[in-house]
Amino acid sequence: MLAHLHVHSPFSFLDGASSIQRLVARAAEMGVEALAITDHNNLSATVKLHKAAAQAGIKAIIGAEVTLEDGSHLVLLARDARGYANLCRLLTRAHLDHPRKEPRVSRSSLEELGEGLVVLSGCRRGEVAHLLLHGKYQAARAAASWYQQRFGRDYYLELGESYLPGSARLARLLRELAGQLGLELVLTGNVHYASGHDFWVHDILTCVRTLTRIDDICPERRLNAENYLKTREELLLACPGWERALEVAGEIGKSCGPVLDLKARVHPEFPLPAGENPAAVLRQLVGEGARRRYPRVSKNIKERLEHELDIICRLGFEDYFLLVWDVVQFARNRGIRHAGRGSAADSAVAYCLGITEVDAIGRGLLFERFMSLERAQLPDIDVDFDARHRDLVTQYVYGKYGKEHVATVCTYNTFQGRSAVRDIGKALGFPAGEIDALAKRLPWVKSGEIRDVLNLPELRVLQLDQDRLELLLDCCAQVAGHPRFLGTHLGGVVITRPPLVELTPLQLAAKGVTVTQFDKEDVEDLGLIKLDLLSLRTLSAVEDTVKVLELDYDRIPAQDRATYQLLNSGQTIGVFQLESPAQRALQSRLGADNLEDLVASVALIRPGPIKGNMVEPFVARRQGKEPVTYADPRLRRILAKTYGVVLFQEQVIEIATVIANFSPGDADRLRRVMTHARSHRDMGELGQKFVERAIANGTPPQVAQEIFTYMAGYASYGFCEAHAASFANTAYKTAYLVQHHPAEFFAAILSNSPMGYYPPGTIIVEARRRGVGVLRPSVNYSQASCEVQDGNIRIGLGQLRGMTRAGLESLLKARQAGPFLSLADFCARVSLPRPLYQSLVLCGAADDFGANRRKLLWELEDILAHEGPAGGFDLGAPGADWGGVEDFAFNEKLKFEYELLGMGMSGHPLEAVRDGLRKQGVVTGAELSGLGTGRLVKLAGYPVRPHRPPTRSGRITVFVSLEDETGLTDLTVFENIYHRSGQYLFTEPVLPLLVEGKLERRGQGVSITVRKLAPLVS
Amino acid sequence: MAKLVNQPVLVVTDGKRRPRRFFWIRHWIDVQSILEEWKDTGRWWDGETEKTFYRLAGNGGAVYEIFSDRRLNQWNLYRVLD
Repeated sequence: MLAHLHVHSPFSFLDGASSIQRLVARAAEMGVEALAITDHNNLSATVKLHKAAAQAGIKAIIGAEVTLEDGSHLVLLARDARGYANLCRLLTRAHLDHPRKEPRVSRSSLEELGEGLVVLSGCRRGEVAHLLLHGKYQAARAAASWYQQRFGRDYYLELGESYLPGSARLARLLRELAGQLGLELVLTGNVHYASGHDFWVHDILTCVRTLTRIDDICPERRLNAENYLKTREELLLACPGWERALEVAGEIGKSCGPVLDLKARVHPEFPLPAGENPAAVLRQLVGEGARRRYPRVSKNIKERLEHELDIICRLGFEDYFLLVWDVVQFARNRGIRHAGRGSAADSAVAYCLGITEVDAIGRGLLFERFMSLERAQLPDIDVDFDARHRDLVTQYVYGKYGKEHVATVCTYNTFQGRSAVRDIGKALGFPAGEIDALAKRLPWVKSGEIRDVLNLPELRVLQLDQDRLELLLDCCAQVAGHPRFLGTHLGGVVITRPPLVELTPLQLAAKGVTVTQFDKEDVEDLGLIKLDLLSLRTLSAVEDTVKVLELDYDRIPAQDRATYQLLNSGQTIGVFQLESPAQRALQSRLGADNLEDLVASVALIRPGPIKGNMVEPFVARRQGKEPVTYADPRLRRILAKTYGVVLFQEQVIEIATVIANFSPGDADRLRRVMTHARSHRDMGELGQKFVERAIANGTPPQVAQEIFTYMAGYASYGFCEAHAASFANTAYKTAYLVQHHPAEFFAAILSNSPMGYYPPGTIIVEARRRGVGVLRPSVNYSQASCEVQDGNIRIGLGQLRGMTRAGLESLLKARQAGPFLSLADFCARVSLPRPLYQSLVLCGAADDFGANRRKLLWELEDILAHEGPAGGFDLGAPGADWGGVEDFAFNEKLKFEYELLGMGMSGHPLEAVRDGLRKQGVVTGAELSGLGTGRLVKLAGYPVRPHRPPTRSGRITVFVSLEDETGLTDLTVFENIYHRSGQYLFTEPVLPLLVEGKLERRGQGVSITVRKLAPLVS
Repeated sequence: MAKLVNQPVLVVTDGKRRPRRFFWIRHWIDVQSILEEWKDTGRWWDGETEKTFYRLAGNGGAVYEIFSDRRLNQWNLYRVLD
């Protein structure tokens, strides 16, 4: 057996240059029969290796190259399940008992947890090899003896030829040592990439890891390209006469058995009083919930609930549902606003338990999209919580099930376009300014297409060193998707019955959170139960609003006409999920008048439907401009609510059930396969199966084929209706708040920023457009958060960049004794750092003491003179008497306000130049509504969130909103204009633009098709 | 004491393309033994190609480091270590 026992994957974080799939594929090509991944101090590759190796017919061996307390390396392989559990415990201790990012395995832990492990002495950084290379033979012998005594025949001296200086001597000494101690030698490759051609990627990653540049000399960088996956012949060519050591590797490979039991039941038990049965408790709770939710629990409802409960209990998930119910109960009892999302809303049981707010029965949603006997997968319930209190909910879960059984799921933060450009650009020696400009202008592209960006106008103008840029982009493409570091999942918490440290190593993430070494997908593959406790700032904004208004959120009228008028106008900034330019454009012509329209809207504005050109036909049918037809009359019931268009995944399932007589579970499996089918052959096979069954079910062959073609076209775009319905519910209610309580809701949005699609500066422009005044922050009148005062939004002091919680508290406490009478009085009563005083003046919060902000700054310097030399802000020269100093100009004030608050308090920058613009024939966004369609117009403003969504034709179209003092105008920039002037759209800092274009009208919406685009020169 | 030479030299190799003797300062120097062998990719980003280095004992008692650049089909005497 040919076995490679020392291989690093990208989970060695910047020390492995080839993906697991590539390593496994190359190993399979070479006839490797067993492949161990031995990443530095983690097992994150475990699940992916298992899956890839199983597919390639290779034995996967789980291991790690651990760092010992003296900094030396040691390779540990799990021989069996006990060994795997011990390895998890060892790594957990290494991480949690030592400072973050410096995991160390202690010798005492090795002695205690060595059972089931195979130990290899490691690479040149292994203790034994290191001592031998430094001429300390006796010390090396003592070290090897220590391991031999603890691990006996499971300890091996590791030999790997990497054509480095000293290799021949090291090999001779290892052979001598093995002979003296009676140890076996094992031949490994110390592999860091699949092929020698990948060396350059590893070399650059090493520069990233060591924070060096490619021209620097760094001992960590490998001298040559020899750390690749070698064939038997290559290994023996490098180490002639070491056949036995290669055989030993094979013997170790053979001796390692499976370490993961993916079928083991590790789900948590919901704690119940002795004698209570979880299934019975669940039934009882669901029954009580049903009576609360439905005025009359009909036979139909009872049957549906019974059907769901039967599946839940047969699959053994009753504890899981109780667990989620309990968490939601905790939130409810604490008054923490929450809302279930995702496919769980397909469950009437979840609705009755109060987990979701979508009536699955009333909407006719299919439970099998969520759970089925056929699929028998772990259910995934996601719940959003008020962002400010989500951690409280998580703490409750930790407290209830214990730290031994609960951890947050990690995320693998991966190399993606911009982050890769920053890391790799630095390593390649690009100046910081060039990297920054490049990263900010880089669009999202697939890794294989990254070289295409060289032709984009916003990158062309940078005039970078072309050779280095190509090297940079090639490297970005190579490492795209490789893990960069472990992070914390936004809300995924895993709960297990056995101690978690036997299933996954744990480590600390950046915020001090204990995380697993597996991400959400790996956790699911391991069969662990995950609960998504997500934080949603929209819920925080809703909570703030309803609290101030004393409004019962649950009793917001369901069919409010004014709310639908707002939606139809397309002026939906601030509305959850419906505020992007594409959504606003849809709303302005859809003519939504019920919740179903909003559910469809949420599903329609996604890359798939847009690329598939589904939006226009849907709108045409919705407005009666196109006939709604059905290939089979049985489809009417399923597709009527979406005007004959297959929009939801649930519809695909139902079609397969009704037309081809699939069971709902099988139909969902069909849907999943269709969604992921990549080849025509796979789709052809599926189609044949569907058509055969449809014909057997009485469908004419031609109709069966037509229906399948239709389903196949939309299956990959389909959106989960339950999820769309959950979001649509919140969308409608936030639209109601925008329509009827804009001041309160916009104030809440600002207080909970960043949230939603737009920055705070755009939100206040919209507030003003709606007639809501916005008042500057004030040391005397503002609270910490934004709030409504006399119908206007008063900006909160918490919005100020650099404001600390302690500073805010001391200010508000001091003010309880009475308003501040002067700047001197303020400084005497509130102790803040000098830059914060200055910021308060510059953002206008100290205008209470005089409107001349520059003068206030000088006054501040006098007040703080006793504190020593001034710092922070350059006041310039005051002349003889600062009392007569001139205030900042309008634009200067605005600049400070945007820097410190993210919004303009004194007005909008365009106001200052409006008169001049009028003379040039430039109109405002608000004036467009009075102009005729097709007219050529000139506009000026700041581009907001330019983006290039995928288009069906593959051509580039940029959508961007232009903000002036009257609001937003949506622009469409086609490819020819983009190539000519795109660099002005994607710049940092954002430049004001002068735009010429043709006025278009679609529904109630107005937009401009741009013909000319240039920076605004005032 | 090491002396940097880094000049092309004529080399006679064995069947495995390892040096047997080389010509330097009007003399052929026989390789008594190869002490070490390693590879160095050099400044690959500037177009340099991989070199194989040999540290070897010559017949005069001195130690030499020579390298071959197979892509350029060239041998260089890199250093002489007395």
